[in-house]
Amino acid sequence: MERVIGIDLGTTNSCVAVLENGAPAVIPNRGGYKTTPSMVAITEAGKKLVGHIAKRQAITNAENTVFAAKRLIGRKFSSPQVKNAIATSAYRIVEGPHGDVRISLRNKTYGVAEISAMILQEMKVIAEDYLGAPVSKAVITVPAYFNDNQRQATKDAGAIAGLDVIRIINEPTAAALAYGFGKDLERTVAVYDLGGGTFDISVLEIGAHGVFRVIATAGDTFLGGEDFDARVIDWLVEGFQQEHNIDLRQDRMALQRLKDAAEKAKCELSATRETEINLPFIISSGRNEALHLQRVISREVLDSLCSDLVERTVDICRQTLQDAQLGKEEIEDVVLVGGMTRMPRIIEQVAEFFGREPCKGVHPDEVVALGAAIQGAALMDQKTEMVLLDVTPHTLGIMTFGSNFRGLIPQNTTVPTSRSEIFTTSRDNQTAVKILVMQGEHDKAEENELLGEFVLTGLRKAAKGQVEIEVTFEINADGIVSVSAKDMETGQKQAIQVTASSGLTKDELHNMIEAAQGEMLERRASEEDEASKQEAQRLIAEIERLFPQVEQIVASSDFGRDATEKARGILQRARDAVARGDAAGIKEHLEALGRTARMFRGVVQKTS
Amino acid sequence: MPTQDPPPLPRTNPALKQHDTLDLGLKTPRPDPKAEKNRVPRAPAVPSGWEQLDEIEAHKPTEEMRDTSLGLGVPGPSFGGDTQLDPSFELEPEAPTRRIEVGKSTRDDLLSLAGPHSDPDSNDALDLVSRVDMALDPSISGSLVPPVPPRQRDPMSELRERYALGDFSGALTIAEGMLEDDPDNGDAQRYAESCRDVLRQMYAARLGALSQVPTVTIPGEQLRWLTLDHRSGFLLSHVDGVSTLEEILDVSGMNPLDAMRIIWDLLQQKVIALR
Repeated sequence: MERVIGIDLGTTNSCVAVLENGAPAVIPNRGGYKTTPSMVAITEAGKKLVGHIAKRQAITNAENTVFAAKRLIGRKFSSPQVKNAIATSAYRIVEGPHGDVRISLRNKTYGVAEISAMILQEMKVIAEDYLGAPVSKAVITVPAYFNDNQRQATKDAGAIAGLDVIRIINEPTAAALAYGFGKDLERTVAVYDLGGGTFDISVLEIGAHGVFRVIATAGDTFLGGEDFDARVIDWLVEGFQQEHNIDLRQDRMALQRLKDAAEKAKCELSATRETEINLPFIISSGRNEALHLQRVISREVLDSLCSDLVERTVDICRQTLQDAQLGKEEIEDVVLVGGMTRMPRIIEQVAEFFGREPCKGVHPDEVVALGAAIQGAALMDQKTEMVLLDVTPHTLGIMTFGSNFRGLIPQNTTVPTSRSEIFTTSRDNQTAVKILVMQGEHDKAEENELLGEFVLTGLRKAAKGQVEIEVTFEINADGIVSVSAKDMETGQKQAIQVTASSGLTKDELHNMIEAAQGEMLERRASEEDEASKQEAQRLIAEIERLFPQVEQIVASSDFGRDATEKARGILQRARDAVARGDAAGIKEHLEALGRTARMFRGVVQKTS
Repeated sequence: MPTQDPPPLPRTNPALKQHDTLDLGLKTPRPDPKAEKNRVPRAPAVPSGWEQLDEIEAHKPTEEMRDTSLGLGVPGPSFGGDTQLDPSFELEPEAPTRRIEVGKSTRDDLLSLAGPHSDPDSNDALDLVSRVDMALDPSISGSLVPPVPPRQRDPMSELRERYALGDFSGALTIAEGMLEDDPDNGDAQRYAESCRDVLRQMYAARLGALSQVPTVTIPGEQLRWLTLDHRSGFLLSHVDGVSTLEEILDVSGMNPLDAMRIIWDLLQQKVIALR
């Protein structure tokens, strides 16, 4: 059976998991880390960097390093979130040809889905290297509040990365899946997810036979671990400024080191009560000498620096429970998700708010990816009984007279669902009505997301308010939204199926898929060449090491001398090929090198 | 003045071929016998190709050097031939100098010197440059020679001269200085590009395979006692025992040439090692 990977495509970090021997397991990347930064960069030389390597140069090459692309995916350029991102990002965000968002890096423009695809491709490669086989199917998680366009864009990103995205699931649902895996639980849980860049709180109901239902979800897309890092950086910068009268923020190299050190210190303070930040040669002073930064930060200092951030998450939790008309006592367990939830202060605050200790049975960094892997395996295995009941992330409705928004299906309604409402004409002798299908929470229509529109014509001429039109919204189990409008008198009907769009045309998507495939082939070929080179270097070193011994042993025979002479020639040609970086030449000499090494080993072994 | 074509690389210099060798004595004042007596005797050995390259790189021209006429008259007709032998200097054949075959100072020769098999006894233009630098910069030569009084000089002539001599670092510094004043100076751009290219190749040859992984050899608490600048500190912060040289160059965000030079310096100081 084909393996399906589960990918947690996070705002700041991504994680990939697979079900192995019936248990989900996270796959470490080449550096041994279980999460990979969701960052993509293009270097001055035009080289593409993804993951940790991109993160390490994120400040020194800020204009060409994309982070938090997830905040932009599937959004319209005109949306407030994009405007906010433009104000806070060093990289260039530009308008695409379809009102979508594009990112400009070193004079080349990329679709946001294309950027996310680079991260997904990295996760795919990590999984393939680990499994030793190609991977083509994946379940990807998205925040529960993602609208249809954002979900579609995530699917497109998967397609560009060479993945068949068999299901998109909500992050809290995935977390609850991993939390409930192997247990026959029936309970209401809160998923508190504080990641690197976003905060989400969701309340889920885990029913019998693996039925999961999201009751409520809310969050802040601009609140996460990076804000905590920023507070530590501010503290360090201010301290240095007082001591040396130098603003470290003015130097990108210093700032990059501060960012890395702040994050490291923050993580260390989850396990220890204090830690030292030591950055030698952080900056050169005017007197041509380098200055060092050395400070000790305690857990208490970190807590006081970030207390308002923690409080903000608690406020959102309070509001969410209130909106969902849920009492804290109804929450039977709290699942912590995201690396930031390791911070002791956060654990304390969450425990205090919910009146119970959070669950310690799941790994906050891995739980979402593990849940996605569980769902992926379940989808491939027909025997598994598992039903995921998702909710509508936003209210669905239409625009009415005066640019007002009328919601038909409220936020957090479990899908599949269907709702109808009767509307009337707003003008005398009105023969046509335009139905604008929207998604959002604002009373004003223009503040919400337009999903689609259609016109119902042939209405009878009558005074305003006389003609009645029934509008029906229907969402099926796959999340496809259908909207119909029916003239109640004539029975005439018009309908549309709202097709989510990532902002990319079919042609664009096709071209991006082809380009990514080409790049993947190149990457694999280059890896193969590197492996051949390393193997050749290993064999050359071994032969060189054995050469004096072999030469001594076979010196007495003409045959032996002839053999060592030949070996010398092989060695020289292989060395030359390696020095030239001649990949084809190296491969050509590998077999001869292997033969020579085997022969040398044999000679030495026989005589020892 | 050449404006169209990129500066030709100094394969050979016909003007120099006519003379075959140059005498350094024409640049360096005769040493004071007393000073000579008190001086710590220098090892007679000629620096190896590696050492010569180090000298070139370490002794980037100072402002003083920029303003000082080298007076070597090393112009090449291939560069326009507008640099003339400085008549104010007289040949002093008896001066304690070494004879150097400038005709060898081709780009290929320089690159070959960067390799591990360079001839330690070679006497070529590289050495000429280093001696000149030493003569001009007391900080390099100690109290060997008094500084030559500064003299106004056309930077383009000096740039060409240094380039022809194989002092690519010096030439690059001059070219960059010229570009600061006039960013559209095509000649300076071409020289700068060519210098960077050669220097990159030199450092690449010195460092070896970029797949090597550098490691810090000095305990963290001792690092701060070293004399490093913040850029070295920054690169050093990327040395984690896992990242390859190539990755460090990529993530540094620094000019690759500068980054390679700093890494080389760190290697020379044994702050890092490669494996």
